[in-house]
Amino acid sequence: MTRKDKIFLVCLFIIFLAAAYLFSRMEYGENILVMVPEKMQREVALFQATPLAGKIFMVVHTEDAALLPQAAGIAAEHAETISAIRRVPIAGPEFLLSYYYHLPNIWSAELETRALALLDPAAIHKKMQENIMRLMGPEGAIFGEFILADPLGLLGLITPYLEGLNITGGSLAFENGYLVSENGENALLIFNADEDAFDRAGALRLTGKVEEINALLPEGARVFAMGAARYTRENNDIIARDAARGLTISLLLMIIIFLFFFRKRNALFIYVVPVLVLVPSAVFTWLALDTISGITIGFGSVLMGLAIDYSVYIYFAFKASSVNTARSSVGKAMLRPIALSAATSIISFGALYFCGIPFLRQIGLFVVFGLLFAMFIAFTAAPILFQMQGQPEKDFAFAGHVRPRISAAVIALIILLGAGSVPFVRVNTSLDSLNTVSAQFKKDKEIFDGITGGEARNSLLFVFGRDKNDALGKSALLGSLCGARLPLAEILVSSATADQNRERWHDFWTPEQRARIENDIRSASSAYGLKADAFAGFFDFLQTASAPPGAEEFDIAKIYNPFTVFEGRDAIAHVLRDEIQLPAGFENDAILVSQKLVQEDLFYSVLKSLLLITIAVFIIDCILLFANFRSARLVLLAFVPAFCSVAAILFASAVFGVRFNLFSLFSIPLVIGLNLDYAIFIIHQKLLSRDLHPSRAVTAAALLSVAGFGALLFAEHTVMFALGLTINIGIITALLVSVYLLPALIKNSKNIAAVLLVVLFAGCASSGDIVRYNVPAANAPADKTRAYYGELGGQIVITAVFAEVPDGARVVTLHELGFKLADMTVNTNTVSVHSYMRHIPKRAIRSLALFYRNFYFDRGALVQEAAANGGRAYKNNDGRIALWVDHDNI
Amino acid sequence: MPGIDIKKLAAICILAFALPAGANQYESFASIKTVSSDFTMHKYLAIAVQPLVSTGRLYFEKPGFLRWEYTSPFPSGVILNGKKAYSWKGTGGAKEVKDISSQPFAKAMAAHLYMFVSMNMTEITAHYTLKEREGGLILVPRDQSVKQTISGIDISFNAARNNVTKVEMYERSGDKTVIVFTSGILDAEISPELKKP
Repeated sequence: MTRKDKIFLVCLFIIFLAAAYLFSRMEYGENILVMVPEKMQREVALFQATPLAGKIFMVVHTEDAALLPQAAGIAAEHAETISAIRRVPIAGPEFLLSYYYHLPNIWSAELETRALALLDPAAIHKKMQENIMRLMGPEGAIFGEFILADPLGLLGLITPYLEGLNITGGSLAFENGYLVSENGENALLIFNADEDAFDRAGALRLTGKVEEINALLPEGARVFAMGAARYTRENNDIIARDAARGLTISLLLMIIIFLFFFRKRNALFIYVVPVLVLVPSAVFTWLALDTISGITIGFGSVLMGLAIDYSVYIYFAFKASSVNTARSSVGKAMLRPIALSAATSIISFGALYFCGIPFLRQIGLFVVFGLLFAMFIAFTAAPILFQMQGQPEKDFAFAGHVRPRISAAVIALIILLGAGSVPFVRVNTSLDSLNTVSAQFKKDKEIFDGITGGEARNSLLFVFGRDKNDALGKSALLGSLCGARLPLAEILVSSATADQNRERWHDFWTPEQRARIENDIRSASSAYGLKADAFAGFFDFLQTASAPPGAEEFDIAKIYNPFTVFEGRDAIAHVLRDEIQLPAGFENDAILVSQKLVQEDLFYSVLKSLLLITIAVFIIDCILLFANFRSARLVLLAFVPAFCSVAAILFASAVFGVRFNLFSLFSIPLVIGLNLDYAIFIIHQKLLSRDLHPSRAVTAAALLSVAGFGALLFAEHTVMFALGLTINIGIITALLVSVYLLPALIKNSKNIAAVLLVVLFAGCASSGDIVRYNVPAANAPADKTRAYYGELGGQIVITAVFAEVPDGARVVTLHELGFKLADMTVNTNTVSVHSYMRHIPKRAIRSLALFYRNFYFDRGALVQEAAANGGRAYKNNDGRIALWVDHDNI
Repeated sequence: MPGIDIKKLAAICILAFALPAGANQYESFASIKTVSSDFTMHKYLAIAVQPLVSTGRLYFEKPGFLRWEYTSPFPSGVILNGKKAYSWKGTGGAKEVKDISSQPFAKAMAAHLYMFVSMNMTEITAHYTLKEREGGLILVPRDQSVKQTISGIDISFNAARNNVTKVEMYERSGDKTVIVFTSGILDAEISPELKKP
């Protein structure tokens, strides 16, 4: 090592230290919005601004309802000692009284009509008897104030509005200060949480405290938290276990690889490369974009598996070169294949910068810089440390000895298997699928969903306005135009509407009306010794439409804040139980979002972005490879390992039933990038020199990646496992294809490439739409039939008659009036459709066809809900298609 | 409008019979099987020129039967029998009976019954602060929601301190409820007819 080399290495080290310092100063963004396409950020950001955001839910669950009051009391008392959370006030007597005095503001024509029934003299007499009964009993202590303020029971006219407001969506009753489930076994406590309650430390503190509270509860009762903090805790525990296990396995595999392939102290530098690359790449991305997400660092570090390959290639090239060869000569010889590999990868990942997803943009920049830096290290630092010329190692003797026809046949088989697997590959679009939780969590979630109505609560309507008042006015208008009941719009009205209502109140409670009622109430109450002015407050209220002095002012925000400010405009958020259609003209003033739809849109938007980018990258890479190889055949062959690995991933996903999720999608560019590198290396091995490009080098590089990702196969976390499975299958397939099958095709065959091309297209074609339209209706009568009731589009009631046919079922869909809508034959690979109604959109038919296929072959892919009579409802993801299965048919 | 808070009602009437003067007598109370007693309730309200008076009878049987019946001025009442609960108004042909078993408060009521009948002082003291006074006991609620309306409950025992004679409930508003128990009988059989609404 010369003095110059030493100075260079010291400089490199100083740069690394500077980067490490900046790395330690970086602040990571934790906002999930980085994962969301820019065009969808509005919807997701709105979700983050909902009244339900920032809440922590605790459920006190008992096996015996008798235990609940005591257990809930203990849990509530101790939960209030947790500093980051505050109990959400529940509608207590003061709130109800203030709500009652709010009545004139919402005194609608409908309320007026309903109130008339209370004013009948007989009804007043009966009500007064009830009032006095209550006043005479001990409970009069609690209800006396209500009875005096509202002897007619007008509050009962508007309490249903509050029930409709139930933000939890479930049927909970208010009991002793808690929301209690129908069976009396569960109490729901709701807390407002500070922001730091949701980060890792906050989540650990909170869940730890819940465990402490659990120890204080009587036997047969327990408390659990639900919400973001619990998810964080669950994932944290599992990831910590996975990390410890993964690190051990990876270390073991890397030691084995070192002993088998390297066995030289200098080669240890290869293991340092990922860290050397990761730190400056993160800093560069942070400086360039002024932000970096923690997810980018995490996922980016995985992608740095690409960075190690160049130094591995240089290592083997140096060993294979003769003693007299200059360092620069070896570097020059390796420049072309490595630069080409780097260029294709840089294009692949660089393209991500131009997609509309901030996270992918960060990843793109991160990897591009990382690869450039890895190449820089491979050609500058690595040669200094790998000065071990003249120590060639014998390459694998068996590599490349397979006959061309056999190679082509095996490759064709892999691709066709992959293509044939497409219909069986299942996709999980739910963001919940990115969480891995314990069995206890699943039980808790079931209880929580049972009492809160689960996902039904997640449909939200945001109505915007210049100010709150304007938003309220628009809400009322929107509700009346679309014929939907917006519970908030019945409780909160604009000032103009309130003025109109108060006027209606005065018109209704005329002096004559009041005099008659006063007389009825007085005559009923005096008989029991009540003073003449006992109900004076009530009569004043009827006359003035104002609350008595000192009464609490009605403020819905005390229990539930539906207002938010978004993009500088005031908005009111309505939690809907049923989805509604927005009327025309409200495009700029209202947004309807459902968590389920947002999740699906998110998944498919990411999928679409990645597909477009992959196609663009494929075209650019083709041009680049062609410019280098000057041969379309070689360009095609360079892609063969990548195609084979994607096919193998699809096949494995179908066989093992591993569902594709958001992270599986992100692994595809990595697999393609890695595999293209191996192919380029092997092609150069055949075109240039086998000595400098031994199969041993590409095998070592691939196995090092497998050592890194292989540990993920032992992960409990489903995302990590899916990622590990995808990447490892991809790498191992590509390695085997590159080393054993590809060499035979590079020099020895010209026609086989054309055959492969045909296979590739055939494979792609066979993986197309599984729904076949306009197929003549089947005539054969079926013996074994079953009929299920269902719903289409939330409006049309249908009967689906299933008849068994070979390899599947024939499904005839009937309208409730008896006419046929569609006749479909459902097989595992296809659904043949004969539609009787020409006006039904193809998209709707397709949804129904896929729904029936899942219903018949894979009910796990459908949303399942408990239905009446012990049966079950099966729904598609948007809930617009449903079938009800009664108990006997399950 | 919320319904009758039977839980509090039960707590008061059971307390009247369940709470002896000394801690050493709690164990003997735990062995009581049935209680029946007449009561007269005086309600002192600021809005009334004179106290509102109602009379009735209470029946209790372990492990979970309670009949709280008003005989005048409005015949009405409530029955809790295991997991079943009923309320009624009127008498004879005009009697209106409601099954209130599915209402969570009925189950909550059972929890309170067990608490007092078994004289579980840990639980009683979890809900009330106890203050001894001569000839009686004062209970101050700990629960915030109860505290807002009830400031205290004063229970008087007879001279032998083996029976409750009076319960006074003081409200924050200044109103007061006085229940006087007479003709109390312990461990007598309760007729099956009384277990129906």
